[in-house]
This record gives sequence, structure tokens and C-alpha cells, in this order.
Amino acid sequence: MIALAMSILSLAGLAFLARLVVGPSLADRVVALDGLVATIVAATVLHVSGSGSARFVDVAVVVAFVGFVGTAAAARYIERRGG
Amino acid sequence: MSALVRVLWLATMWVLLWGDVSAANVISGLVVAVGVMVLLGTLRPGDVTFRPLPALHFAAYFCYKLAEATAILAREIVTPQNNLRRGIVAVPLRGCSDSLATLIANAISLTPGTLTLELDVEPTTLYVHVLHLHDPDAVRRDIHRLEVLAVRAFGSRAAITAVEVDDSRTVERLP
Amino acid sequence: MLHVVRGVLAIAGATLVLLAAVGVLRFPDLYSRMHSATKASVVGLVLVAIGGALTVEANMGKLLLATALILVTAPVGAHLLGRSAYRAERVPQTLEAQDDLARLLRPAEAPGEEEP
Repeated sequence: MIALAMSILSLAGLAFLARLVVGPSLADRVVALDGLVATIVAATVLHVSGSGSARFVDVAVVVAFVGFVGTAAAARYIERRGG
Repeated sequence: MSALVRVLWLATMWVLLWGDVSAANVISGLVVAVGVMVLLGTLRPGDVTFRPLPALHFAAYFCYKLAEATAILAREIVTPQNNLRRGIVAVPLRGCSDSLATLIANAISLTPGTLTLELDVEPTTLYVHVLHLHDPDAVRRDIHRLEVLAVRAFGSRAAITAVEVDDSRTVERLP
Repeated sequence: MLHVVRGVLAIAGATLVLLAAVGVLRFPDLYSRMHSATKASVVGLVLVAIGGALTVEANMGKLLLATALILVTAPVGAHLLGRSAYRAERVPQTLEAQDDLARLLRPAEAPGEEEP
């Protein structure tokens, strides 16, 4: 069941990637990245709970932090440069 | 929120990140938390009121709204037709401190069909982007309900009187 | 038994994240895509995390911390993005109903009436 959930998550990742490539403006791409961050954290949590190895929980925390900081920085850039 | 709550929250996060609750972790967490706050100059006094039962009410309402938002959004994404009617509504918040307004603004982004776009300070007004905007006053009433619950749980006494006086009047349009 | 519950929650959460991604692809403009990415993917993550917390004893704290972090920062990130996208010149605005924010930020070109 974890494997099924993982494959669903990878489909979601692909869909976010599609928006990342297509999205006409920079803000659309940042939204896609935000979704990717959530997907990565979900995948990490799934892996940790499925395999029992708690090695990658720190990855989830760091990705959440850095993703947010990146979104905030991109927002500042968009405000100044437009698009 | 008061400095003590912030220090405790930072120390808790530190201990959680280290993974196990030992004396060394807790003490170093408190030291780091106080140090960070002194360095950043955010040791601002403020009152934190926390009433457990209204806070539980607020949390339960919030979780219910979150679930409802997800259900509505899921159905919306799957159905093929596109009957969006998007708009931005200005919602005045009465009697809220800044941190309470921030909490409400965050909570609104997770309720059905609404997303906070702007928070103006004087007077405290929230600008909310709505996906299906058919009645702006209904949106304002919903958000006012959320505001009342939040103020009852976390606001000061003055805020509660300010909010509940307005509760008895009907929500007016902005001039 | 607990593993079955965890598996069901995991699949439900993953499906929600997938729905969020589909929404981000399907919605016609930026703000609706933000609705989808913020609400649906965060709730999907919460479901997965609840399932994970049921069966992982040692590191439950960090799991819940990561989930709480995303729960708190996703709306703030969406707010920041929406705010700057509104002010940026190149992001198109497609709003069928009223726009109260225009009166605040662009008084020169705000629409006259507020009636929906």
C-alpha cells in the first residue's frame, strides 16, 4: 500500500513539474515548487513510516523550511521585477 | 504573543529537532532561544491570553472548515465545467491585535474558497480572494464568525467587547 | 491492523496531493492555482503524516514538526506570492466579480461600482 501511495505521489510530482515548465509567469512556477515541497515531505514521511528507517526525517524538515524561504524570496523578486 | 511563549516554542522546536528530550538538549534549547530573541531584538512584551475551551472550539471549527475546503476543492478539480466567479472582497476586522489578525489571515487561507491576499493595518482590513463570489456579505459573515471564535480564544478583553458589539449589528458594506 | 489504517491514510493523502497537482494544472489563473496548491496538498500531507505517526514511535516529534511547519508556512507563502503577483505588472488579472483591492492599490483605474 505504501508503494501504491508512492506511485500516486510521483504522478503528483510529475503534474507539478508540468506546471513548472509551462506556467506562463514566474509566480505560477513558484506555486508549482510549493506543491513540490509538499510532495517531497509527504514522500519522505511515507518512506520513513514504510521502511522504518528514520534517517530521512531531517530531510523533510529542512525541505519544508527551505521551500518556504525560497517562496518568500521569489515573492520579493516578483514584486520588484514583475512577472 | 509574549516573550515567554516564544522562548518556549523555540526551545521546543530545538529539542524536537535534536530528537530526544535530555537535560542537555532542553537547557541548550532554552539558551539558544533566549539568545536568538535577544539578538533579533524581539523581546516585546505583549499579553497572551489562552482560554482552553474557546481555543478548542476554534481548533475544532478550523479543522472542520479545513476538511470542508478540501472536499469542495476536490470536487471542483474533478468536475469538468468551469463556473468560477472570482473576486476580491475587503473584510474589516474589528478589535484585533496584529498577531491575532495574522492568525485569522492564515486560517482564512485554509477555509473553503478563500485565500488571503492583503492585510492592511489602519484600519485592520483583510483582502480575501474568493473562488465563487456570489455574495460578498456572506463571505464577510463567515470570516466574522471565524474572527469571533479566534478572539474569544486568544484575544484580550477589550478585543472581545469590540468584536461582540459588532456581532449584534448586521455586517455593513464598506463606504 | 494499524498498518492497514496507515496504508489507507497514505493512499488517501497521496490522492489528495495528486488532486492538488491536477488542480494546479487545470485552473485558469494564478490565484485559483494557489488555492489548490495550498489547501489540498497540505491536507493530503496531514493525512499522510497522521498515518505515519501511527506506526513510527521514535521520530514522531520530527514528523509532526515538519507537518506543522508546512501547515503554518504554506498559507503565508501563498499570501506573499499573491500579494506580489497582484502588484507586479505582468501577471494578468482575471476576476469576474468585484475587486476591492483595486481601490486600495490602484485608485486611478479602479472600477466604479462595487455591486456584484
